[in-house]
Amino acid sequence: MADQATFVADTEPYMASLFSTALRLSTNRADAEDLVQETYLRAYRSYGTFREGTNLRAWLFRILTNANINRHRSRSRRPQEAELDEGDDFSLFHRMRDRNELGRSAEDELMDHFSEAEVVQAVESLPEAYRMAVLLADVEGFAYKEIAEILDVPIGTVMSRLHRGRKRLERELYEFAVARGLTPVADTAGG
Amino acid sequence: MTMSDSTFPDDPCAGSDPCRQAVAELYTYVDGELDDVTRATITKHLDDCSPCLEAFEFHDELKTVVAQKCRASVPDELRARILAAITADPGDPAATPG
Repeated sequence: MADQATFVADTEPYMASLFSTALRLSTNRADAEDLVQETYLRAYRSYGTFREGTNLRAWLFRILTNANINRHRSRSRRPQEAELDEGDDFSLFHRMRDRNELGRSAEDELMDHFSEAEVVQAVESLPEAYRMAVLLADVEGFAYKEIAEILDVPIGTVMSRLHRGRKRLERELYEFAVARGLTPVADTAGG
Repeated sequence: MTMSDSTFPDDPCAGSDPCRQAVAELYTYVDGELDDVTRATITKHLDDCSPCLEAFEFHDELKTVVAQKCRASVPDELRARILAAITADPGDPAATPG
């Protein structure tokens, strides 16, 4: 039986990652907190099935994914792998470059072009399947193979969701930027 | 026919095979998913082609922007609530006690 202290010591380091993801999935704090709590309880109850030496963080994210699906049974488990739409070909890079928004040190400036609220809103605007792929790859840094296991889809599906999710995210960010005149914002502190 | 955003129509290297090959692997490159040989080939191309390098750096930075701005810290109250819930939970129902 899973020893409480061992379980907590092993899994607590991942709580912030799980909560960040839950927050972007749920889009409100109360639901996100419930989702993380449910994830921990499910993980604790099935910790006996976790094999040491395998990827604990990916295992926890898989539990979170399944808990999230269960909470929204009315939504289809697998989204339609949608046709390409006009947003899937969007390039924020080219739009910004063509407007001479990319200066000599583009890398440093990009962070200043978008506020935290804008990035979060753009991420939360993505269809859930795309959002999850982007969160797992870009925020959590999971490998494609790990994302495939977490989401229980083939790697090719992970790649297409990432591609579409990122392109839509770029389009959203561009629209925010255009709406306020493409001037950098000043919240690099992350507030 | 419309020009795709994902080619480099305005760049001097537009249409060259190495650029097309590099751009086709842009995501797998910035995500660190390429095998060593392919990665080295693209890295070499980026050394020689500043338009491609600029695009790759942009996407790499965009990943960082998304990561930094999407992180949240765990409220103390939630951490305490979860620890309390685990403590109160009987644990694995399938496990044999003791």
